[in-house]
Amino acid sequence: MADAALWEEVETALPLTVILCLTYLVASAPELLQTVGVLDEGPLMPDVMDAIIMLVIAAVFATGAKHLRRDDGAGVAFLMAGVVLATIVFILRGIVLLSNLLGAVLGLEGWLDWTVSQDLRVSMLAYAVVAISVGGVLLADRLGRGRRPQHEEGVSER
Amino acid sequence: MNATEDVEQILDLEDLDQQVVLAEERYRVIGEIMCQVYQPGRQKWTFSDMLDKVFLHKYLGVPIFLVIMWAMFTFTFEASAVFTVLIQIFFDWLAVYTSQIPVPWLASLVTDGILGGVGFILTFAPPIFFLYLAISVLEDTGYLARAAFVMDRWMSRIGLQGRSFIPLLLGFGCSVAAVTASRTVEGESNRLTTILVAPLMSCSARLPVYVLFAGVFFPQIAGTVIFGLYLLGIVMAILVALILKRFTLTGESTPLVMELPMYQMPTLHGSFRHMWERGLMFLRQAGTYLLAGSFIIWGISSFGPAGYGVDVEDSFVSLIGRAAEPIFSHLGFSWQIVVGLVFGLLAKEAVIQALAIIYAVEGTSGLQAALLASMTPASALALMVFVLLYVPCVGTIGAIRRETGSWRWTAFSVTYQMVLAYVVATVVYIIGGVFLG
Repeated sequence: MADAALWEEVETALPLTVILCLTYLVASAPELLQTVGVLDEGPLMPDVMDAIIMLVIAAVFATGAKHLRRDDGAGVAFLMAGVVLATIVFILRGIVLLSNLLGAVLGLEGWLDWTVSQDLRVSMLAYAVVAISVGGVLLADRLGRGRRPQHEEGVSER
Repeated sequence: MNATEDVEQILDLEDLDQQVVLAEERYRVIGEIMCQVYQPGRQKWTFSDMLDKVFLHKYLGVPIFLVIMWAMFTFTFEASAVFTVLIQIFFDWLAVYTSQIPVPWLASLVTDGILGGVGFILTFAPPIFFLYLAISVLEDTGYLARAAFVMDRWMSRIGLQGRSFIPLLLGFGCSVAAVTASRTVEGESNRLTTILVAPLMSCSARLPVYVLFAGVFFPQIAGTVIFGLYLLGIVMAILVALILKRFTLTGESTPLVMELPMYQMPTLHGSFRHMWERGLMFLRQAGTYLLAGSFIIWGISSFGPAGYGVDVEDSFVSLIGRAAEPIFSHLGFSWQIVVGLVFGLLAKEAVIQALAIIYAVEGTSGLQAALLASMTPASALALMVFVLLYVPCVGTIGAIRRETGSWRWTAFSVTYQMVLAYVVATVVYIIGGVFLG
């Protein structure tokens, strides 16, 4: 993440930004439709706030994709910020899940019927796409860097 | 005429803001020095610059701000729930022993008054500490300063300056601090408007009320309900400021000039230390005047015109509640709730403290069950909105008096907040009744 030069290569950043935008956009749709009653409830709890938050994250990625399509390096900032936002939401959901798990482990009254699926949200599953794709690009860069001569690793120009 | 007056006169003639001129001059000098000593290399775009490009974006800035606010309140409510229950279990365990004190009045005072009142308030320490932790993390990352910047566009549209949002943000912690911090706002009308709307920002003392009622009546979406209440506070502050600036406190708005720090990774030690320092104030409050409040509420719940040991229905507290009950009867508030609201004028924690003691003295086991039996979800929502909007506490009234230097503005502040709370709670009750029943 810290190596901005990697992300400023449009051919890397644009497809990634588009994939992540579509992931969050598509993932938010069932939750919204379930909330308004168009779709039947699925295995995960429908949560309208989760859907709205995914739409905001999708909007951040979409704005980045728009910039990157015009070869504007500023689009990378939106990719970065989108990943940061998605990570914040994922960590928050993780903390809530862990605290409820503690309640269940301690056998507290309000947590006797608690199951992990009650705290799983679609945004957590969507984050798996972020983690895999961003992790994959970082890993590929690290492996590639091992083969590159040192002087090719430079700082980027704005 | 001295040099300062000369400069002020020039600024007036040129219609310039002193802060803007100072900032421009400062950056001009910095630029000159940099030109002499700095050899520019290839420009690097830092991670902080990238985040600012998005977090301060014209259109995305506000939705991102709202997402971060939502995350803060979901963390506050949902992640702290287990710890709240653990403290509750501890006080329940303690109450088993204190209720066996051989002197009946002392057993009632300790069990129903102290443990039922202060002990009950202390069960809300986890959400308050979690809220302070979240605020500390936002502060330490450098985002909180950006929040004022994001809101500046909206604030300037209603005639206020973005700087007014900084005291309003402090209002999430304490209304007294928010009112006091308003003195940093420039311009008499801007400052007065900020003082008058600062109490509408939901302070941490109101949080236990939301946690209790949202948890009981809206358990699945409690975090979102609390987030909605905080948002309503901001919306109401903006609307009231808009009305005041249009009709009463007209004056020019000044641009926001502030230097934004780089984003930082918060340290565990720093964030927890800030949380502890702020949380300690809540604990001190619980150990001092909330404890004194417990004695008073227990006293007027246990004594009546016929002396000690009367039924709560015949106690002094019932007389107070029933006297004011008709004002709130259309909202479905029982006399116990009304007593809570009356004591809430002293401090907002006293709302649930009073309820806990009254129901404990009454012999009702479980405050949650008692509330579910006596209120509808629409009433609970109306109550939370009323608590959000009516006068925060006597401390805030004192701070308004001190900062405005006027009893007239203080009286206006108290009156408009009461009327606003009453009207909005009624509207929420009517609309809530349609959807929630």
